[in-house]
Amino acid sequence: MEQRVVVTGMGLICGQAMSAPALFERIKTLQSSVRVHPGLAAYGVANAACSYVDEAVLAGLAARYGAVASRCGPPALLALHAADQAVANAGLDLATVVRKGLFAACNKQSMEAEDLLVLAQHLDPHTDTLNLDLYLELERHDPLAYFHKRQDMGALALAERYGFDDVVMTPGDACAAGGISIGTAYRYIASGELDVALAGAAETMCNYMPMLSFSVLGALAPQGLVNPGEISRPFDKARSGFVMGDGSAFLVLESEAHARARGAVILGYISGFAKQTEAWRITSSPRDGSDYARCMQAAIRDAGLALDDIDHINAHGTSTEQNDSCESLAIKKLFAERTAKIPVTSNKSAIGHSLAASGAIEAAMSILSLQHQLLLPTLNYQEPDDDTADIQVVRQATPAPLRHVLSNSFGFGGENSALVLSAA
Amino acid sequence: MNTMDNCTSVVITGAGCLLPGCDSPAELWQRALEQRCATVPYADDMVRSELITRFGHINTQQSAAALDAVPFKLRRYATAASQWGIKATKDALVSANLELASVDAERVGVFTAQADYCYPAVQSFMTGIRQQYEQGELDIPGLTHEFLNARGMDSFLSIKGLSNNMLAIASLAFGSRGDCGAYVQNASATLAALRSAMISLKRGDSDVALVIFTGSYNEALTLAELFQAQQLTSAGASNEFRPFDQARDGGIAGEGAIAFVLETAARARARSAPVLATIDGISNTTRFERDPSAYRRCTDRLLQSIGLDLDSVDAIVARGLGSKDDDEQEIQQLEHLLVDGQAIPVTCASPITGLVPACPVDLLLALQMLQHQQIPAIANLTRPASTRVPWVYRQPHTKAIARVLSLGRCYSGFHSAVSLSLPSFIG
Repeated sequence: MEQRVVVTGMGLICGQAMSAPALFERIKTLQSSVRVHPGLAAYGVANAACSYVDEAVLAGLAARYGAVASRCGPPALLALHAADQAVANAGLDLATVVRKGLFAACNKQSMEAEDLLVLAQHLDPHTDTLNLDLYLELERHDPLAYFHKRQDMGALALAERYGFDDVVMTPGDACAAGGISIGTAYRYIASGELDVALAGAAETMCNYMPMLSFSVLGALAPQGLVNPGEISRPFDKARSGFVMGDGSAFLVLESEAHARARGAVILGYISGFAKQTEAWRITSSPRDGSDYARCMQAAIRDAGLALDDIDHINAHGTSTEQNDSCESLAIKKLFAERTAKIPVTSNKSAIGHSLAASGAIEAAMSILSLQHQLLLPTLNYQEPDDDTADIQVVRQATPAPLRHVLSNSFGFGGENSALVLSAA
Repeated sequence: MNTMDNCTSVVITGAGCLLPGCDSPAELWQRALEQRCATVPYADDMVRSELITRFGHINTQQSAAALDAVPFKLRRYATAASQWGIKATKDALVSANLELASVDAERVGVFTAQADYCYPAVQSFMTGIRQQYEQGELDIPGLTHEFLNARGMDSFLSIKGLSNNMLAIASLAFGSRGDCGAYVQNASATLAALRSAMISLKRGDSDVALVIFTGSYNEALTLAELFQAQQLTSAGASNEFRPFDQARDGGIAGEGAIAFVLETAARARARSAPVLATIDGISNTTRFERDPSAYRRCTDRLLQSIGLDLDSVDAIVARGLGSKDDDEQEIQQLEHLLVDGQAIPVTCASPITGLVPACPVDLLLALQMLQHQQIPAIANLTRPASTRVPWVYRQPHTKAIARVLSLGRCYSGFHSAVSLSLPSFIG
């Protein structure tokens, strides 16, 4: 028999917000976290506007977490902060839980610009070869640098901190990884494999390599002379690409029976989940939104709900031309005439796209929307185009009766996920 | 955990690989039996090194065969590791006697473990670096200009750098539109992909699960750091990969891919599929610090969950990273596991292929041991570093083998145990 899965704790960190309530308040009051990153701008990155976590904040976390910090790298620091909050929020002593699992998504810990420069200085431009031995002889190396590059360091740090000793995994499903992390944990609990899960994601993509890589692909919004806070504009006619973000969010999930037995406060439910591949193209999804719609429908079906039960959509809403068109068409295809009655928002309008972390952050914002019965606004939305027309994009924080929220995460490479979150 | 993982109804019906010197599981088996190592002197078109002495390379012919396995329109997006994964998966499907076209595309799950060391790498930026050299001194703003404005970098880097590149390429190549999961980074990804595939089959989310493992250590910074951490055998030393030997002086890094086709036992029976082994269960543990009980804890938990004890295990495949310190730790862990004097023969696959990240070479060897009822000797082991572990060395060991325990550990402190048994154990 399937177990009902509840959320009993949440923690979060992202650009300019150190907790889930703090971010909820910022978005509610239309505050963008997107700023020009001075380090990236100094390196000549043309579109250096992003939603980054300050160096001072990272330094503070490094001081707090000590030895773990030195071996685990920045995403692990964000993960530790968010997970600590989530566990404290749940009022749960994880040491007392036997059947528990850890799902900590992260896509990449990248080579730094300085690493590339040093390597480049050992390249022979005439033969296009790197003299690795000279590099080893002349350059100082952090003996732990190898480990800093590993995406699973956050999972390892959390496993050590909380005694996760069996199910420990690091989803790396591109932009869908955070949603998939929470959804996979939901499945483990629903099917009776686990009683408790700590599930979420951490990502620090506001650095040199990711900014270059997505920039040359044309996926990042150009900065131009616009106020940085106005660049991310999901569903708006003038949208021009996504804005990068750092962040982490973790949720404590429990079987309802486990949570009730310990008298936990239930913040909300994870009611349904779907993850699917498209097998369409690696760089794009079907233009008509059919595969996004298929994924959303599968999640609603998994929740045992009807389309009419969905009161709100927390969209993937990246602010790229293509994603927002496809997602809009998918919503219209799936919900037909109900489209006009379903408010849609995109948290990325305020905090950019933190890839793996985005799905986890948006799940946390959805839970808070359900708790507060409040729709969060999409910043910078002014005018639709033909594809986004008829989508009811929320422009101001709006009270609304909310029972079930659909939270979408669509990944590069054609990997999609959707979560259904429900009010307590 | 484990009630679901261990209820013995998920079976391996197909296996394929592209590993150093091995185009198939049968070739891995033959090399293991003959103790013929496939590692070769390190060679790379763009990286020169004499300090990195040897490597488990996928050779040019193998790479060409892998590229051929990838549809034309996907080749520019697929990393070399993903190409290897496609070749291994195609071979696994042949081994499973399974035409994917006969399965509803929405019922085919794909689960990948990707060791993600190679992107980004300096190679992706060669054009821009060369262009800036021609103008004088290197600096980051100058390089940035070349990369962004003068086509100085691989424009598909963000796609090749995806942690789900293997999953994306596989779903496109095989037309799968079902359940999925892409895991990083190394041994933890291997276990996560296997677990998720098993859950998907058990829950009925998939009818068939393709589980693909792939990766390479051949990236300059990664090799440099492994070397500096004294994980790799060095020039002037024995130049051989000798796990568990008194003369061991480091491992040899490698690359490659492995693929399994998983199905429920019921489905495999229904279509008369060749059942290679049952996955009895999976367990793992994570420790940064030295922990002599890590293997014991994993194994006890795994075996208890399926109602068995260590006496039911007929052979063990250990990891063997090859460095002084790592092997010393692993030997302690094996001694602790076998503390009651169990004479379970212990072998190791790593000297044959080198250390292949995210790829369960040990599990593939375990599968072969079940099929051939033989335990290959550990290559290059002549003077074991412990007399309390019943190593198989010098000669293969022949015995009845119903269950093999594959133990794994990696540099980060992740330890795992997977139990495979003969198909007759189903149910």
